[in-house]
Amino acid sequence: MFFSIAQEFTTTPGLRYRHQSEYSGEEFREDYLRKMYSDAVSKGEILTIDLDGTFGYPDSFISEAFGGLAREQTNTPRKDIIARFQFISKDQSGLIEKIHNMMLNEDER
Amino acid sequence: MIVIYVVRLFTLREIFGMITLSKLQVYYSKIVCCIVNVSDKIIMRKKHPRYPLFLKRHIKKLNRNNKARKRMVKGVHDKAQIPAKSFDGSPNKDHYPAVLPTVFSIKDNPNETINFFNKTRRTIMRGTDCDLMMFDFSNVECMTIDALMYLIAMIMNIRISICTVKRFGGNKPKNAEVLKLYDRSGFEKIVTDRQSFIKNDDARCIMFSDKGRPEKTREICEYIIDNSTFVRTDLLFLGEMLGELEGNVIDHAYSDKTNSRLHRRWFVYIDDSKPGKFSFTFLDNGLGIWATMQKNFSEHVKKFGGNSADAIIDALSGGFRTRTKKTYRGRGLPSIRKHAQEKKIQNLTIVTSKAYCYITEDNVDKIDSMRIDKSLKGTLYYWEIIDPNYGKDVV
Repeated sequence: MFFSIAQEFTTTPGLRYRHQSEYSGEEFREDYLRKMYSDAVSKGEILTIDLDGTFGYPDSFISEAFGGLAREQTNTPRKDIIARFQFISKDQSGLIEKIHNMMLNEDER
Repeated sequence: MIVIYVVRLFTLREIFGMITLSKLQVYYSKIVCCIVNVSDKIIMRKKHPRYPLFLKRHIKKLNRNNKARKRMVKGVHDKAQIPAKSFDGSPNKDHYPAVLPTVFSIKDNPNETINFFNKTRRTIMRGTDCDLMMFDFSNVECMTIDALMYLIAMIMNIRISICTVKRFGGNKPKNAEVLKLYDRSGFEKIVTDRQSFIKNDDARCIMFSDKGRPEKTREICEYIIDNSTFVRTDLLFLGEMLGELEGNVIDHAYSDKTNSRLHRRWFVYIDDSKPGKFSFTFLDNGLGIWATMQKNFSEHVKKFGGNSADAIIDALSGGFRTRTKKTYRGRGLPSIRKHAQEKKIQNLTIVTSKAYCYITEDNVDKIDSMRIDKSLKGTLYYWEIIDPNYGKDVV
């Protein structure tokens, strides 16, 4: 499965929550990512996310979208969730590592 | 039957024992001599022998209060000699004059400028009879956009408040450079627009919004790309940074209940008057970082040396300061500092409450700070983006 954020969602990712801005991390997670992830799990496929072509990702967007998905999946180990994803980022080095960190380490206090 | 009778007798005795005849006389005299006004003030009856003395003292008190109120309305600005004319040209006799400091800049003259804002806000909120407020720009010889943006933010909040001042006017600056900045900022357009403050789409004017506006971020990036040698991938950090700052304003800056009436607005301005250099000013006039961050015990108690500058340096350095108490929050300020360390942005300056923090180009790893005398309500961020290839032929 393949999904390009710039082509299929937006070139200008917004803030954390829906009430804060358009194209928020919450919107991306709830309307796109959650469904794609569950499809990928049920079909046993890898979900490829293309991160290129945007004007930058605020940390709050990444945290809510990808970190939020990892926080939701309480029954699946974080490493298994990360293994389900493949990220493409030629524009910004370090972005994939940042997403992995957020998916791996974010916890509700 | 006997028991009931004894209890009844006892109760009646007790009641009569508590209220003696002498006490009843006192109550009666008080009720007869005084009546209670609507505003809960005791006013003496005209027949009372002390009434003339009371009246004399009461009138004296009223006069004293009126004088104090008039002094307060004039405030520190009573030297102002401004012709009564609003920005939209309508004549007015009754106006509130406010004389701006000669160096009108939060960044360059924080104490005097913040003092001006605080005194003006305080005077207006206490109450004036004027419906027009006049700002005298004529003596301003040096001005930066941050002060003008803060003034706009303050005006917007005055409008939605319950005070009588609803219209704004004043003199234009005499200094040519100040006038240029004044005109370019769109100050008059924003201030005279009585209907809506939301629309201001000129990328070169002061932009503001009460929501996160990712499309504005794109416009800003595209504007810079058109006027420099930067390409989209060079400015990805700017999108991140503006997004974080907008998110902070919407989420935290106005979260206190006392500020619930205020719009959660952020303001941004890009100055590209110097070739190859883009200066960003981003501010809000909410509670400020210091008021909204998580503090430790010593910071809560001023006597123990709670210092806003140190706390903000800690937050910039990655200290766990988010009020949400969630580990995945509070990444905005450290990421901004990281951009400064990586030299993507230059001369980062943050002013909030009594803290003035800045990172110079000479030592990007060190955050310098100074304590200012007057407390700024809100947060100001300033940074520069310098195009290293400007003026060079880039293939």
